[in-house]
Amino acid sequence: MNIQQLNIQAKAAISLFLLFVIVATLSSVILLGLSLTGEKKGLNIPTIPQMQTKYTTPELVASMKGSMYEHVAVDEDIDLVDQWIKNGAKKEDPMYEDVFEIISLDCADCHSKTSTMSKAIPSMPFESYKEIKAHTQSGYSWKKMSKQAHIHMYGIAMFLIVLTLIFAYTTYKDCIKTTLIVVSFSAAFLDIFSWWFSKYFDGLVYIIYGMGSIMVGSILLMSLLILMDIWKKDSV
Amino acid sequence: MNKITTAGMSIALASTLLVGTTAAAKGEKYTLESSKLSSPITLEATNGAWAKAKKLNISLTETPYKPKGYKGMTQTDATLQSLYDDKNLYLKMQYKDPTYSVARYPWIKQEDGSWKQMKKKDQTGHENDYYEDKAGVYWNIKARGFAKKGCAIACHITKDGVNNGFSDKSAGRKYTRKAGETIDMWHWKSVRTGLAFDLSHDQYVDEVADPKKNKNWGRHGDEKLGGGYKNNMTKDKKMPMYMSKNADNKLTYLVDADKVPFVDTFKAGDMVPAIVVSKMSGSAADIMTSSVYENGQWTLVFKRALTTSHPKSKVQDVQFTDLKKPYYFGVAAFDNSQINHVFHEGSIKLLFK
Repeated sequence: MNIQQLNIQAKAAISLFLLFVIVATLSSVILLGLSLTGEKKGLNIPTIPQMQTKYTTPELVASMKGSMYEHVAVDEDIDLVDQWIKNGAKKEDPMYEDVFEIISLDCADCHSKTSTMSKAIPSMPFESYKEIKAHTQSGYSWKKMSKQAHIHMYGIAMFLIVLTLIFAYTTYKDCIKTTLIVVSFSAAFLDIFSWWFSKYFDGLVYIIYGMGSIMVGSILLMSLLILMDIWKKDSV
Repeated sequence: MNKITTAGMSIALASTLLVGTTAAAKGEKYTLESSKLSSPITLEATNGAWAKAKKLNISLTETPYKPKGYKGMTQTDATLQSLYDDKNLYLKMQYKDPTYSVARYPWIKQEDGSWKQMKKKDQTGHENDYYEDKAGVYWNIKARGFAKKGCAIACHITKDGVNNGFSDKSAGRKYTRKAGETIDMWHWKSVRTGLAFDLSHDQYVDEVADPKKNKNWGRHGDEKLGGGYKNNMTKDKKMPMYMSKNADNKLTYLVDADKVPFVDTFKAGDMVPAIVVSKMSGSAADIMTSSVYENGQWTLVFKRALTTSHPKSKVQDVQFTDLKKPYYFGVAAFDNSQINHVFHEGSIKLLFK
């Protein structure tokens, strides 16, 4: 049994499914690039320092250096916020007055419960010490991490099992099929595993980078290989 | 498919992913080059000299608030060009605006013979239905962070009805963040300065964030030696004070030199302008601005001396003294709106070539 033996309708359904997978995968790469680089359009592959910022630095600083960078008046202000957080992010810290002013001026116009700006984010206000403090944890918090991990792992597993099962019934050599199937699942697992622990060991950011690339590469590669195999001219 | 082909595809994919790592550096978003002229040109937008000026296309996609029942544009596309000669800077700004709006609070005669000044204020107390099209060009004079954030550096949104500790109904206020920081503001007002006199209102923004000190907070007009505009209404505000001496006047503004005492011979539905305008002089009138509305598009040409020499020019006017350095600015368009405007994020860097 191989996918070349399927009827034309099944082949069409699988092909369309794969096109969805390819577009969705590329979209996820674009989205990740935009959020990490702070750019507004195009495919932007983030740099290692940008990845380190996302996964190892406090969320507030990561945003100010990443997707919110253009809203921060000058870089020195980010350093000041970073230093305040390193000092313990205390309200009694003399630096807090400056931090609060920076955030009020550069962030709170949109990040306020009553903001009227076109890009208002009333669900994430930065109007009080408590609201600011909530975003000073390094890397992903356990709550955020568990939320992100289970959503991603369920989602990825669902389409990966479909993709790899289809790939398992291609006519390629077993070693190629086994390698790509194992690699895709393993890379996804290691990628997400590294999200958890990179805030404790920032070297894991390289694993995120590498495994993320391999996961994306293997998904795209399997999709393309299936498309080529399923429509082979000499197919049954 | 053989192993080599499969491996080759893997390498190609991996390479595609990794090559991009060096291409993610952040650049400055917008740069406008100003080209040198051998001699001064007129304000006409059709002048052939503009053919040599590079174009910068920029989308104005942001608004500071959402007025209730707003019918104006919430985004538009603009094209900028710049030229300069030995003494002047020229800036051409074209932007799409689907509606030609120049009826600013007009007086309309009612069926019962009374006069009604048309107004429809929004939730912030500002007008978006009976106003005028406007445009603004903000130039950094000395404001920390302007080069990166552009006009937004001086924009302070009112939150929970409070702005800088003061109770405030407006959507936001303009003021700089520190004493000594100023921004030059070229404010083209189609009815009050533009169509009648080919002028913009030269204004500036400073750090005043207290309505008791200035009702417009940080916004101020440059020094004015004469001219300006005032409301055309009687003391009881029930009807116009003046009308045009030209019986067939259809303009939505009343030029001061043409005004005569109001004599009501009008019929229901007739309009009388609610603003009397006269040509400003002094620092407030530094910026000549031609304006043409055609095919759903405004075309403005600003012209200002590279340097100005009024007593307060250094803090109120951007001075283009060193043509080797960049000058940062931002643009905004107001569609028949008193304060709501479409703008872009970040600043535009002007380079003299």
